[in-house]
Amino acid sequence: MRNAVSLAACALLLAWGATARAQQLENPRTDYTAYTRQKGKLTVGLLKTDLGIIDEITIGTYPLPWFAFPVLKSTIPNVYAKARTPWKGPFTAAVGGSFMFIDGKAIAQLANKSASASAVSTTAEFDASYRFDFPLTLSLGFDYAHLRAVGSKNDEATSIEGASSGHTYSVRALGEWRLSRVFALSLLFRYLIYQSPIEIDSSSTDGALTVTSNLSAESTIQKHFTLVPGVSFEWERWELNAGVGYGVFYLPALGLASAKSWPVADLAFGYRFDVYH
Amino acid sequence: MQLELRFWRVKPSLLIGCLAALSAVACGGAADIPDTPDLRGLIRDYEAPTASLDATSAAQTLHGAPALDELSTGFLAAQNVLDSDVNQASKTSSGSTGSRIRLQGSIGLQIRCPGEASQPNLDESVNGSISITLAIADTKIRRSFGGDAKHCALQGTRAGRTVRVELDGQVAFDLGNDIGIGQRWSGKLLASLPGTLTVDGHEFRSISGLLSDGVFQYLVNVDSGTVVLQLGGDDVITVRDGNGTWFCREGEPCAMQ
Repeated sequence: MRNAVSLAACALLLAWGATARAQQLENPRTDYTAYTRQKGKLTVGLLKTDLGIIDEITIGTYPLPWFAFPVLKSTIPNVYAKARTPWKGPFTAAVGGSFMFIDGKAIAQLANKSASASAVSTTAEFDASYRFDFPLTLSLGFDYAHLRAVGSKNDEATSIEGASSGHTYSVRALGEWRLSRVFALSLLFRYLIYQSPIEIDSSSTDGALTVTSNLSAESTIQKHFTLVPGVSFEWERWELNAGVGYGVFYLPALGLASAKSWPVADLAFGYRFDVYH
Repeated sequence: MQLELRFWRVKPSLLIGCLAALSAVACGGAADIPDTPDLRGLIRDYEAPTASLDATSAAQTLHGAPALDELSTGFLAAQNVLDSDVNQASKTSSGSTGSRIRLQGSIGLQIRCPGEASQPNLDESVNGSISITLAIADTKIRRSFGGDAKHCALQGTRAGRTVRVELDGQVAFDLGNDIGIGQRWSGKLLASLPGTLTVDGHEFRSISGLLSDGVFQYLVNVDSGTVVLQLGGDDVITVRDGNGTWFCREGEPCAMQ
């Protein structure tokens, strides 16, 4: 009897491991990992939508900023892409990048009404993922984000006419332990290596005085660590990754880091379907 | 497995080079803080003159000095211009700051001079201009700054009438202390003018002056060191040397008090 129970337990573990592993291979998580969407697979979500052009290349966008017009009086176009290594095996590497343009009208709505600069955000990432024999995946990544604001020469004299820029370097590690075909536990760790001072070049004219400044601003209390435990659900069509943790908060899509530590929520969900094979 | 080995087969020298380049980029980004004129020697001379005078030499020093009321008029005119403009620069930059923000860099001020007429004429070709550069470090405007005046015409008041004051050449100022961004300047001003200051047609070259609490002081070099002359009330001019202060009144001998 005891042997039978042991055998059954062993079979159950093997079956669980096999199904979990299958899910890892079919629909691996693409956030914070080196994995990409399978060819022809489109995942539509409010926070993120992407398409596997081929197995190794995924392109996508963050839909919400596109629909920011009612709030920001302007839409925010953005796109990202990721390409992974073509080989099969436990180790996968990838490079990715994104581009976002924020019109001056949107910045004026977000911040100073008199500001008229537009902003360009670019990010780059390097990822490496290793799939262990048991259903555990470990991913390491390096992120770079650059934000540059460029003003217009035709602005009002008191508005920002120069440029602002800042860049952020961070590394991260994501461990995902798939407990079943549907459910996985995850732990995301991020470390902010460096966030540059924000450079602000501006010029203003008021009567007899023209003030031209070349200044940089940086936080005196910059925090570095973020830890986000979470869960991941992978259904037939739906996927959901959610986590709540604490630490430095990274602005979605822009990649800029908060100076203080905050409660951090990490959320991604989408509906998957095949566009082509 | 073979692929993994290939991935890690990176030349150490290349890796070190890449990391060094990355760290160099990462350490950049802070705006440069411009050099400021070193006025510490001049400040020391005003605070602690070194000469040792007697009543006679104090009177002689006074007689050899330029007209202090004219100089005072010129420095007050310059102070009036800087008063609003330095405070404006401080106010303009304050939008970027908070208690947890460190600001640094430079602020350039281009001041179009108003001229001596009651109605300002901001045409640079008529009344000239002053360019000065403020250094910002640790979210404060550094107390010393320098610049260049180009025939900058200002309005001065002397004996109840309006006179023309003109600054030309290099200028260097000290505000008494660093000014926190968003804070106002106390008004204390030490000026070193290697160029020329012209007040009501009288030209002064390579001079300095200190305005503190509305009182004008002027540094004079004598054989035994330095003394500071100060305009007081009731036609009294004080002469401060290394030993104390002489009080001098027109037509009377100077007396130490």
